[in-house]
Amino acid sequence: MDNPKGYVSFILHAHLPFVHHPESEDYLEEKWLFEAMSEVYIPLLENFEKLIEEQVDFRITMSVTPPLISMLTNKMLQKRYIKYLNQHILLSKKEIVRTIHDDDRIKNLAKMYFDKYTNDLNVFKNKYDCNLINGFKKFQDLGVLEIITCGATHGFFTILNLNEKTVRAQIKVGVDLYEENFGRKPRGIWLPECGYIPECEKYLKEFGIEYIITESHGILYANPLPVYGTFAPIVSDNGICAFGRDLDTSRQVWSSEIGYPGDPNYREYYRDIGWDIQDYDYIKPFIASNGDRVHTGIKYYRITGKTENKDIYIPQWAKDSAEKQAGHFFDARKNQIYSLASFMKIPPIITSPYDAELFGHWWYEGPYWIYILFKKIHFNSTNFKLITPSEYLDKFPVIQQSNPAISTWGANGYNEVWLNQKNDWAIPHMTECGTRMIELAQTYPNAKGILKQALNQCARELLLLQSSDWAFIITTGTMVEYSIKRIKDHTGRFNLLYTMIKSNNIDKEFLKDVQKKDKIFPKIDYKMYI
Amino acid sequence: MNNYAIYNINIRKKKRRRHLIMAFEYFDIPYRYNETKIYLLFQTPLMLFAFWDISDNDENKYIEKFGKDAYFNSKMYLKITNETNGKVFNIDINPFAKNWYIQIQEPHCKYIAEVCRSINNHEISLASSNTLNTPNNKILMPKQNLKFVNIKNQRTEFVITINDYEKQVKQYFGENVSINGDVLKPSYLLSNPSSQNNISSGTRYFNKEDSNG
Repeated sequence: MDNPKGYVSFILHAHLPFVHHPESEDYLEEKWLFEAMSEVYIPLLENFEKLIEEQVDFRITMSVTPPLISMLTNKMLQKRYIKYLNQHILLSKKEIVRTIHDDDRIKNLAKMYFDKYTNDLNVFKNKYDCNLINGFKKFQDLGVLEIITCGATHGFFTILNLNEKTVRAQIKVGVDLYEENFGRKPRGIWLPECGYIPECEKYLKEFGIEYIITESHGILYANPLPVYGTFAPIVSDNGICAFGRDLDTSRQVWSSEIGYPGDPNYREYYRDIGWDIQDYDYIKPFIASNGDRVHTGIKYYRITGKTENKDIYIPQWAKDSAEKQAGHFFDARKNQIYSLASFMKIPPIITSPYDAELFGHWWYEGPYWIYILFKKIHFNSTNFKLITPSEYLDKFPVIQQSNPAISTWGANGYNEVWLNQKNDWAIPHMTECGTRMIELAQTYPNAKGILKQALNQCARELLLLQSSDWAFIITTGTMVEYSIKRIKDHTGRFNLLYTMIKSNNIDKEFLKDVQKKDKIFPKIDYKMYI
Repeated sequence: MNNYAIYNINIRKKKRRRHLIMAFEYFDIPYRYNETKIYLLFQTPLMLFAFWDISDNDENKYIEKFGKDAYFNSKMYLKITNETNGKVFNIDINPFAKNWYIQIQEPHCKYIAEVCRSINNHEISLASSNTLNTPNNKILMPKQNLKFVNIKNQRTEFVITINDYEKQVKQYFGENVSINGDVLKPSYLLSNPSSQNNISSGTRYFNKEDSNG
C-alpha cells in the first residue's frame, strides 16, 4: 500500500540473564537459554525466512540484550546446546517407539518433535554456523528487522542511578557490544524493564541513541501532555524520542484472562512428558541430573479449558486458532487506525512491545501467529503498514516536544518488583560495589598487566550483580535460591578483588577462575567508571 | 584471605593442566561496609525507601563530643524534606534499623532524607541523602501551547494552542474525561495487563506460576 493512514510497530524484547557455568553442567538455569533457542529464537528466524521467501514486505524490531548476545556467541554454550538438541532428538526417537500403539494423534506429535529438534540442529549448525546472532544480523541487513540495544546486563536504571556513572556504563557496554556484533550503531535502546528516568538521557545522547520505548504512562503522564497519547512519539528537551506502549494491543496479546495465548486449541505448557511419564527409569536420562523431574519441551496436550482433563494437542486446530486470532488483530488495528487518523495531524503509530519469550515458549504458536499476521498485513487490503521506530522517525520527523514521565513496565508501573521487602537487602551491596568501582577506576587510571585484568573483572562482576533479573526472580518466588547465590557470588567476587587490588596482592589463580566463570564482555574497559 | 575452596581440577587428555575452575565457592554478603551514607529511592510515586549506615569512626566522634549516654539515649529519626514545596517531616526510627519505607503525600517532587539524632535538644544530621525526583502519577494539564518540532532541524513546525487541545484530548481520552485543576483524569484504567499480572521484561520467562492457559 502506497499511502497508509497509519502504522503498527512490533517490538520483541529478547532477554535472558547471563548464565554460564563452566564448572558444572548441572545448572538447570542454563536450560533457559536452550529452551528459548528451540522454542523462540529459531522459530522466529524460520518464520522470518518464510516471509522473505514468500516476498512479504514486513518490519519488526527486536532488542537482543547484551547478556543474550554474549551467551549466543559463547562457544561453550553453543556446544552444550548441540548436546541438548542431541538429547532431545534421542528422546523424541524413543517417544516414537514408546507411542507406537497409541492414538495416531500422539504418534504424529512424537514424530513432530523428532522432526523439530532434528531441524533445529540442522538450522543451528548449517544455516547459522552455531551462532544465532548471524541469523538476526542477516534479517537486519535485509532491512526487515531493526535490532536495538539494551543495558549491559539489564541493570535497572531507576535504582542504579544512585551512582550515575554505573548507568552510563550499562549504556556504553550495551552500545559497544551491539556495534561489535552487528557492525553498526544502534539507533534505539530498550531501557531495562522500560525503566525510564530523565537522568539517563544525557548518556543516551552521548552514545548516539535516538529513541526509547516506554510503558504507556511514560507517555500519558509526560509533561506537557502529549496530545496524541501513545499514538505518536514525543521528543524530550534533550532530543530523545519516546514511543509509548499501546494499551489495546498489550491486552489482546498479553492478558492471561482474555489474551490470545489462552485459546483452548493451543499447546498446554504445563503438561510435559518430563512430569507425565510414569516410568521413571525411562525419563531419568532426560530430566535434571539430580533426578528431579523437569520440563523436557515435549508436550502432547492442548489447553482445552479450565479443566485438569486435557485433550490431545492437534497442531492443525492450533494453526486455525492462530489464523483466526491474526485476523482479529488485523481487523482491530484497521479500525483503530481508521478512528485515530481522522483526528491526528500526523500518521498514528501503534507501538506493540512484547517479551520475545512469550512467542514460542509460553505461547507455542506465537511465531506462527506473527507469520500469518504479517502475511495478512502485506497481502490484504488495509489502511496501515508495519514500520520500525527508526523508519517512522525518518519519515515523520515532526514530533511533539514533551518530556516522558518516570515509569517502568513492572507491576503497578514503578519500582515495586525490584524494590520490596523480599529483595531490598541486595540494594546496599549493589550501590556500595558501584561506589567502590568508581573509587578503583579513579585510583588506578592507567593500570596495566594483572592489575588491569583485575579491574576489568571487577567491572564484569559489578555489571553481573546489577542484572535486574535477580531481584525479579526473588519477587516472583521461582528460582530464588539461584538468584540469591548469584547476588552473593558477584558481590563476593567483587569485594574480594577489591581487597586484593587495594592491598596490592592479587591472587592470580582466583582471578583466572572468575574470569572463566564470568566470561562476558571480553573488551570491557574499567576506565569507563572514571 | 580467600574464602573459597578448590574442588575440581580438570585435566587435559595430555595430562597438562588446562582449567582451574572451582566447582565450589561460597561467599557471604558483608554485614555492613562501615561507611557513613544514606541513600533515597522511590518505590512508587507515594512510597520512598531509604537505607543508611553510620560508620564506627563517625559515631565515635559524636560519642567523644556529647558523651556515650547522651548519644545512645538520643532519639534517632529520619528527616524528610520536600524540596519542591519546602515541607519537612520527621519519622522516628529504631536505632538498629538500616532501612525504612516512607509514605509520602505528594508525588512528582524532589526529596532529600537525612538520618538525624536529637542530642541535648539539638538536631544532629548524621548523613544526608541524594536528591530524589519522584514520579508524576497523573495526566498533567498543559500550561503552554503544545509545540511540534522537526527533529532533523529543531524547527517548530506547528503548535496546538491551549484552546484547541482540549478538543483533541477529548477525542483521545473520551468524552468522560474530567478536568480538575491541573490534573486530567481519564475515564478508564491506564494499567497494562503485564503490570496487573506482575509480569515484566524477560522475566515472564521465569514466572512459572503464570499460565496462559
